[in-house]
Amino acid sequence: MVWNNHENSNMSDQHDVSTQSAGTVTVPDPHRRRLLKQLGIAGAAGTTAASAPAWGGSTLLDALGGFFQDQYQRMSPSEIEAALARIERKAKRDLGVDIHCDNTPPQAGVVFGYALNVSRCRGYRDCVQACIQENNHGRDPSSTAYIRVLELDHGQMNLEQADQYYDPETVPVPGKYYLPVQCMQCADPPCVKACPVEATWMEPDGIVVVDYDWCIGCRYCMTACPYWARHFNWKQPTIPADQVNPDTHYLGNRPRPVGVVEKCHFCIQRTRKGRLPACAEACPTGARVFGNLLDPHSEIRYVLANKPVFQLKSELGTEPKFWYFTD
Amino acid sequence: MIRPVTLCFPLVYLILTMAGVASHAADPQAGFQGYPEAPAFTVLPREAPLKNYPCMRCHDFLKVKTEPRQLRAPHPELDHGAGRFWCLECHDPENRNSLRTTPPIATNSNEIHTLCGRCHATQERDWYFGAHGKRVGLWQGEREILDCVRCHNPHQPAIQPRKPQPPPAVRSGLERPAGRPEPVVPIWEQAVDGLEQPREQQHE
Repeated sequence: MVWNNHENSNMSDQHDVSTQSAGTVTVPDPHRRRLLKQLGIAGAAGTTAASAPAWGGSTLLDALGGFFQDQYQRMSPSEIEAALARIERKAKRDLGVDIHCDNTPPQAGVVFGYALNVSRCRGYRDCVQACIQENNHGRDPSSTAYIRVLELDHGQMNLEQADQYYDPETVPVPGKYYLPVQCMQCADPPCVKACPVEATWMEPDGIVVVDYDWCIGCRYCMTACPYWARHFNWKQPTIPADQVNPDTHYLGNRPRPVGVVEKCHFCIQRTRKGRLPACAEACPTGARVFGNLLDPHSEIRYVLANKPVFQLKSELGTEPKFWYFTD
Repeated sequence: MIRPVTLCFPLVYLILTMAGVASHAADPQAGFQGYPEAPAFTVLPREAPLKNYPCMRCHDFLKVKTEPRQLRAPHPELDHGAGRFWCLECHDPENRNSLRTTPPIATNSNEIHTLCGRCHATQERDWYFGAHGKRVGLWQGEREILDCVRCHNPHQPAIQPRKPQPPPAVRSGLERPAGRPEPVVPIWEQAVDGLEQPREQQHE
């Protein structure tokens, strides 16, 4: 509860109720707050038990189950089943929505790749909005988004000169071009190497995923990523119940807790079932091409073979599976 | 003296033609048949039926006027081809229900790409293979794509600028940067200045 004092008013109801029921927590003075922060998680067990809702708003069984939950890759099928059920129950309690959370496995013979036509992108940001809705991002003003659309001057490739906050009356602005940047799903991902607890890894279909329950929130991966593609949940994402996407995946768009890192996962909940990612579906200009890199007849293979393509910061050797191309 | 190699070419061509190897050039009536090596696709039908179709409901009784003039309702304004076009570049003067392709297709057809591709052949090829245009639904299995006219109004094909979606939020507690950083002079512009200086000195 200590953390929530400097957050704005739309924090989850669950916390409000618990504060009243506990009846003990008032706004602590700054010195006490600093002391508590220094004490950290190790010493805070007793403190949080007094101030936070009982078992973090869960039943005792769910709280214990979550505490002893292993890393995703090491869990047995029955343990995964139990974890998925816990996620669904938690979403029902926190958000008031019946969601379906699955762990659809990767398809054999599929490695996903993405190509984006820079000469077609007009900077509408429809992809960003579609991503926010599909992936259950918080709707409050300071929530995260996986896609950043950069506005650059013609002839300019210096990302430090790019503007992601552009908001003119109409786009495209003459003399500018637009470069959407999201997770490149590197074949040699530096974020995976940086993670000290193996909470992030590359799946067999090439998607770099995060086990949000295993992430300790150290944010080493964010500094390791050269594409600014990893995002930290500084606060609990709040979503109105009618805007929650109930079709979720364990490694994808399930509701995430506060204090973990997340990233674009090529809409794993959709693409593993054969559907296009939400950004590709939303793009009004058809600039986005998605497909299986191992299929020689796929559209992305045609683009790679016949169009002038480039990777962002390819000199770093991270081997992105996300290409930009021009007509 | 005629070398035997020169004689060989017509002979080889004759053999190949008879063997059917060169048969892809056959049947000029059929016209362009698409790219056989392109992955199979289905075109999503138009969202709404055409308002004024069939055209011959009126144009059966109207004389064909070939000279360009100001168009009136119900016809849309024409802004395609920088003023070089007139209706009859695409619409068949004899049968307005159809468009001038080989073979003719109906105006409300889902094969409109065969008309657009007469000029925009590069885009058409990319559209066949998936580098242009938009696929919908699944990345896997049946390939459903949108036709040219789903995105481009054939009479005003340029896509108009519009308002973008809201910019990303700044993390709470942080300020949005006031402006863009000062643009640096590109290296090639610096180099041009550096090159011209000694050249003038040489002339002096």
